[in-house]
Amino acid sequence: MEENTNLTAERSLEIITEQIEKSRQAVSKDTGQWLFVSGLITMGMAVVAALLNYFTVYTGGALPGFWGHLLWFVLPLIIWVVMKFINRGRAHVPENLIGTLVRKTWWTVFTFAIVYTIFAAVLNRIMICYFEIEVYNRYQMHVTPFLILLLAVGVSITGHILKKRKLVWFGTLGGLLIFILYKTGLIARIIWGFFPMPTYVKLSMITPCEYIFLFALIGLTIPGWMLKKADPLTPLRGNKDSQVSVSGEEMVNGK
Amino acid sequence: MSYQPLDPLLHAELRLAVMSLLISNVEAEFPYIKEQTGATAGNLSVQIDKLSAAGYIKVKKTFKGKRPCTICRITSKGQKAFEAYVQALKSYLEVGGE
Repeated sequence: MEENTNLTAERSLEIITEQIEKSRQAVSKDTGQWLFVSGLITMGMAVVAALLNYFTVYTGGALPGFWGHLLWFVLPLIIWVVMKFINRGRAHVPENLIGTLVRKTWWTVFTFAIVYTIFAAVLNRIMICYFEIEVYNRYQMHVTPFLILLLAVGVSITGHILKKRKLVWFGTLGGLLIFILYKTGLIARIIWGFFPMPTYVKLSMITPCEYIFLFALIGLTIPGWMLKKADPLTPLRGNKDSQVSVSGEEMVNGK
Repeated sequence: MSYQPLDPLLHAELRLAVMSLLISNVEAEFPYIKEQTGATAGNLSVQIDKLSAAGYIKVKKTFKGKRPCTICRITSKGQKAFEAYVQALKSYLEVGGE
């Protein structure tokens, strides 16, 4: 962009619109990068957790087939470290109203997710240790469906803020689809049912990793990739036919 | 037909782009402004100096780790000048649209 002082009114307006829109796109791309990386790491973590649970079912100990789930607590830290690594040396996307709204939305989601998960884990553990199994079965706090719906809401709200309809749809449909799949246990009933009993038991221990994997793919990775790869803003170049016939010099002098 | 005069400092492609960028962000780093405007570092520095000398933006030189980092922030004077520029621009567009 050169120092051109002979601007028409339309060109001036185009420059202002273009730069404001670029600010929105910078936030979109940054959010897309976060969603994409978070989705990929969550998918990887789901695979690792599932494998750990699968292979520790019959090993005994205090938490057979459960060790993998402890990994979820380090997931936010891993995502943060990886994003720091990816963004090193890159120009920092400045804070604007849209970026602030997105950031605060995800802080709210993150806070609810962490508090609920810790509360549910502690309460479920107390019920297992000190109460009858019927009490646990009745009052058990399910973490996965809550987290999936919470993340889906986060993705959808982000889509509304960034005016990206696909993000809204992926968040809403992905969240509801995986929530229904989880509540009906369709994956376990249809796919795991084909395996013999010992394998079926081991496979049932990987739940809810398969649902988390699916949501991370549909609700985070794919929409994140789409945001990240969105076409850069086409430079708005003035249509000479529609320009006002007042020269830049005249405009500055107010003639 | 007379129009409202436009601020000559803002009525330049790159300076207007910088001010438009800063009006929608609280503050921005030099590499970000360079990336978004597509300007060369030298040209951008000159234009930022002009805006800074007029009191439209504040330039803060700091460090990001070991690297020097220049942060530009729009001032209230700059915001008012930008608003006045947009208002003046409207008069041309209204007449042009008739």
